[in-house]
Amino acid sequence: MFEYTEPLHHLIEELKKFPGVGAKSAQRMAFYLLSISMEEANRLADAILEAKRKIFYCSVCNGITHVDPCPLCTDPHRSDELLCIVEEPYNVASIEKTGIFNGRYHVLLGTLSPLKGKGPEELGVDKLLSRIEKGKFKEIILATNPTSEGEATAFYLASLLKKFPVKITRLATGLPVGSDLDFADQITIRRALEGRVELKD
Amino acid sequence: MPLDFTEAIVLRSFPSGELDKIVVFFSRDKGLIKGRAKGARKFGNRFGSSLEPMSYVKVFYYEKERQDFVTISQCDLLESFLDLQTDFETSCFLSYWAELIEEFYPARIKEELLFRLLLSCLRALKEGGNRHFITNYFEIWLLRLSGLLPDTRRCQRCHRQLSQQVWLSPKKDGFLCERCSLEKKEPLPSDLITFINWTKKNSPFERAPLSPDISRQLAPIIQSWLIYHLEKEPRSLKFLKT
Repeated sequence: MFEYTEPLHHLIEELKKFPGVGAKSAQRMAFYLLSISMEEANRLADAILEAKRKIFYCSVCNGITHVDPCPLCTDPHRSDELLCIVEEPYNVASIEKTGIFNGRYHVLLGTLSPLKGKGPEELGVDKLLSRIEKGKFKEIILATNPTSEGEATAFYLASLLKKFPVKITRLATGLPVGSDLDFADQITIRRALEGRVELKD
Repeated sequence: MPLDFTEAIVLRSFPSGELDKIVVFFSRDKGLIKGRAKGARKFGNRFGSSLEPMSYVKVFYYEKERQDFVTISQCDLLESFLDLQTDFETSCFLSYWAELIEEFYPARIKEELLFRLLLSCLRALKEGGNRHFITNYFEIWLLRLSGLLPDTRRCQRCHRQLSQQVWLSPKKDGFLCERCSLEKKEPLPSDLITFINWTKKNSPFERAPLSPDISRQLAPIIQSWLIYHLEKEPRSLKFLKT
C-alpha cells in the first residue's frame, strides 16, 4: 500500500487533529503547506508558537488574552454592574460586535454536558460565584446558546444565583431576523410568542 | 441516492465543521442512525429545534452506499422534550438513557419495543412522573429487551420457586435462593422483585409502587447489572450519583 514520505505523513496526521478536518482536508492542507515558500512557512509556524506562548485565559473572566487581567476586565469605561455569562471566548466577540453591551463578561469555557463528562466542577462554577460575591453586579445576563445544553446550564446557574441580590436575565429567543414564520418549528414560535414585546410609539 | 424517512428520537447531536451537525437518531424501524445535517448551526437554519436531544421527529434523509453517515435533508418536529432539559438533573437522566441505548444497541438494528419504551418514558416524565422511578423502569425494560434481565420466578441453580428473599448470582445473570447462595451476602431488597414484576405489567404512567426513597435505593443495584454487561460505567452515570 502506498504511503507518503514520513515527514509528510506526520504533517497530515497532525493536521487531522484539527476540529472538522478529516483525512482529505488534512492532505489538501499539507500539500498547500508544501507549496508555500520557506518564509511563509516560518511565519505560520511563528504565529502558532507566539499565540501558544502569549495567549492564555484571563484569571478574572476566562476570556482569551495576552495580558492578565484582560483589557475587557480592566477597561474603566465599562460598567461593573452588568455581567454577561457566555459559553466560549468567541461569543464575547459576537456580542461586542453589536456595540450595545458595555458591561463585563464571564466565559464558562463550555456547558454542562453529562455525555461529555462536563459537570459544575468542570465549568468552574465556584470561580464565577466568588466573582459575583465580591463584585458590584446588579444584573447578570445568561447568554448561553438556546440549545438543550445551553438551557440546562442557564437554568442551573440561575438556581445558584438566586441567593444574590441581582437581576437575572436570559437572552431572548424566537424568530431570527430575515426568516419566514412558516418555516419555524413550534418550539421557536412558542418562544417568540412568550417573549413578545409591546410596540410603543 | 433515494430519499428515505423514518420516525425517530434524537439521542445526541454535536458540531461538525463550521456549520454542520452530526446527529444520532434512534428510529422506530431502522434502529440507530447517524446523520449529517448540513448548515444546522447556521443562524435561521431550517432544522430549528428539531435536532436537540430527545426531540421526537420525522427525519428525511439520503443515503449513499459505503458511507457511515446519512445526509439529513429535512427534520419535522413531532414532539419536543426540550423543556424537560432546562433542569440539569433531568438532563443528566436523559443523557444516561441516550447513552445506554447507544451502548447496548448496534447501528441499524430495528428495536421498535425499545423505541416505544423511550417515547413512553419521555412522555411520562413530561407529565410529571418521578425521574428516579421512570429511570428504574427504563433500565429494567432495557435489560429485559436485551435478554439480560434475570428470571424472577425460579432460582437459577436449583430451579425452585423463589421467595421474596433472593440473592444475585456471582455472574449477575440470575437470582439464587437462600440454599444456593454460597456467599451469603446481604439479600437483595424484596422491593426489587416486586418492582421488576410490576414493570412487566404496567406502563411508566401508572402510579409508582415504590416511594422515591426506595426507588433511589434500588438504582445502584440495577445500574450494577448494566455496568456488568456493558463492562464499563456510562459517562453520564457519575452525574446521577452526585
